[in-house]
Amino acid sequence: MLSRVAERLYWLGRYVERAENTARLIAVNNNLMLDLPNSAVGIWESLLEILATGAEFGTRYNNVSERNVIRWVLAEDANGSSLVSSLRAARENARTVREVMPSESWELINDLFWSAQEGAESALARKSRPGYLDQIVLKSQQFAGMLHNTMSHREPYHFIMLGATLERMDMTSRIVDTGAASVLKRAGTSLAAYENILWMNVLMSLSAYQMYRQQVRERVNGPDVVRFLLHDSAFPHAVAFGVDTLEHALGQLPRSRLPLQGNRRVLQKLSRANPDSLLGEGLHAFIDELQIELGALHQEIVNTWFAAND
Amino acid sequence: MLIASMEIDWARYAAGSAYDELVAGSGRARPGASALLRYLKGLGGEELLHRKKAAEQAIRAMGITFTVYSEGSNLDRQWPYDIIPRIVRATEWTRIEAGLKQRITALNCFIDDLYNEQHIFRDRIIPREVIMDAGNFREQCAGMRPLHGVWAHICGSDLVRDKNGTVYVLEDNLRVPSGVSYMLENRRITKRVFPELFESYNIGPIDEYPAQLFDTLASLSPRPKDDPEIVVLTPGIYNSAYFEHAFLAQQMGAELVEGSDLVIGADDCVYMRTIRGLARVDVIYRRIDDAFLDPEAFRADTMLGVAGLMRAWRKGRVAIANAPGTGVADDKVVYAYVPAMIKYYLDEDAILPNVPTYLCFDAQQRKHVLANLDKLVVKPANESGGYGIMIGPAASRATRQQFAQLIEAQPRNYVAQPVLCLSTTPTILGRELAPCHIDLRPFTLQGARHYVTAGGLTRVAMRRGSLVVNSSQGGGSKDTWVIAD
Repeated sequence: MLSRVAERLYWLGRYVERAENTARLIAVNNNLMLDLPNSAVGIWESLLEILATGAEFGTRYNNVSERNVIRWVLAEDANGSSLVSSLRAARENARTVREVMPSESWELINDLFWSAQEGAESALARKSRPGYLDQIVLKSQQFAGMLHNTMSHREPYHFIMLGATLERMDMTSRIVDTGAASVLKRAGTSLAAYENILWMNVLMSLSAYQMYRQQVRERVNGPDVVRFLLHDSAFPHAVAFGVDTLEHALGQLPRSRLPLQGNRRVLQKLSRANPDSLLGEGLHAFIDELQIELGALHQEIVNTWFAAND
Repeated sequence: MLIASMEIDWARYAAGSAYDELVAGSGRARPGASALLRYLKGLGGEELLHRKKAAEQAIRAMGITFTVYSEGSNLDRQWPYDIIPRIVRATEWTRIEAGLKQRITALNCFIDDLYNEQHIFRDRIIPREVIMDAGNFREQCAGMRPLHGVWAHICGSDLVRDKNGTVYVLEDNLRVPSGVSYMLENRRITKRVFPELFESYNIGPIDEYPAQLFDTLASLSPRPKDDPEIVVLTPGIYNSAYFEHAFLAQQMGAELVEGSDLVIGADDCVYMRTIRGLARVDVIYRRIDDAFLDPEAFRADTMLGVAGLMRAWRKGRVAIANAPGTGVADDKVVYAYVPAMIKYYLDEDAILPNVPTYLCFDAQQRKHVLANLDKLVVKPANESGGYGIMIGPAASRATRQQFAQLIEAQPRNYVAQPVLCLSTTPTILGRELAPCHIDLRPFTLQGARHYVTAGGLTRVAMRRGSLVVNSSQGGGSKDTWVIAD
């Protein structure tokens, strides 16, 4: 299998996952906005922070209004990580590797991009936004399901899985980091009463609420949510689950010694975390370290299979 | 001139002054076409339009597209296809096939001679200056002797039939001829749309082309073994023929590579980058022009090629099809000499005639051309895709003057031919039946052996009265049947 094809499959996986997570985040912030008192600040700042795009946003917009932020993370071409940009990149990657995927999956990606682009303008309005975001999440899930069930689980499939899984682990860790913490910090004590609502939203953004409730019998609270999203080995959006998925996919690929070592370093980092002491500044420092390991793993994958070593 | 019928009414189908491939002047079916015509008439107009719609849906579902550049962006267009097949009788085809094999053989003798001893100049069959001035002569190829003495492994020749029924060769496309994937897809669609017809006709199969292409390419491998590594080299997704590159790679089970996937090793062998490391490549079916193949040998600014590729080829470490330098024979001035080449190298008479061609570098012929611009077609010697052509009778006075100046300034770069009245065949335009002009592009392979497709890609001018069949300029296509008599 050509390195270039492997690389495009990897990015296809990453970009579809990124689009799905972006849609989830916007949907949850939408919801949060309706729950919190009007005086609550920081929801949209927090979204920019999670998506690590605040600085770029600042060069183009003067104020962090709902409309501006939504436009930026959803539709803006200049934002290479916006939902529509991600799907465009996913489609471009898929286009060049059509022959290794089931043809229906290419048609689905094609349709996903076009419908996302055409509907983006209407999703700026609150009224039609939830329906639009639901569709994005649904079709992304359909894509993942279609690949899982109709594409041979061989090398091309494993490269898509590597990209999707790593992106998901990255997103989950960022959501844990800034999702609740930054809103709480920004609001000071005025929102203390809403802390549980915020953590509940973190769970909902990852479709994790019900699974969490089945697993954790206590009322929603910060340490348990963090523990669940980092350590649960059975919940697909949890970071520990991603480590297992990667371990399996990497094991199926040739020359995977260094990426496997990288994945084990992620696991080690994860197992050192103690969520009880991880709220506030401690959590932030820990997630930073985890992200560094995830970035290092990405680099191992690039070096091993994609880079020109000649 | 063409007389249009207003709906699908076979009784009123009038072929006009051109030779019609299915309907003779009297309105009767040509030999071999009667069963097809009877069947189409029996279907009725509504059903025919219904089948047309089914074909369009099949094309969309199968994702058969070609890329058009428009206002700086690329559009994937549905492949334009007309459901009424074009018929060629096997007796006639046998002769055409022999003519095409003869032609590619002579052209390969010529290219091999040209880059080596140049006997053909010494024996004064072709003037040396004419060739050495050709834009596509590559001095980097001098002294090379590719395997089997073959440079052009894949040739797409354009054939046309004139008013009197004679089939001429209009041009030889030896650089990167395209269209064969559409020929194959057209057959797949026709089988879906008219399955009944395949029972009543004995139609020459074409599906083996990818296997034949694979065998031809495999026969070029510098490491003769059972399993040579063959790759298709594409300029990438933005090329108008990308669909075909991907299609052929898939059909042959070859890797579809871009220049950046390949690297030349210290041993001057070609390798591709895979997830298992570097893998040696034996044969490159390249779909990019010479100029972009290797920045060390040709254009330094190319991003599409592979640095050092020419070195690897010259050392015999890799085969390239078509060989670099082959394009020298894809020139309309060289074309004019093909019958002479056939005589010179093979000591045979050309089986398929050329269209009479005036060479503007010859003072006497130039004079004739300039005096008859309103009756001739003027073509640049070195363009493809139907670009830069002037059709005299249809051109304005200003255009003719402009071409007169161009010819005076660069006589070597222009040829002229009489306006041919291309044959027609019944075609559905919108909801109507009309005689539309067509040509035919068969594909000829030469490696260790020869192979010619049974039929080829029939291209059709989908505008009433138009003579332009190129898909980049609004042309369409048809399935082509070679039928047993």
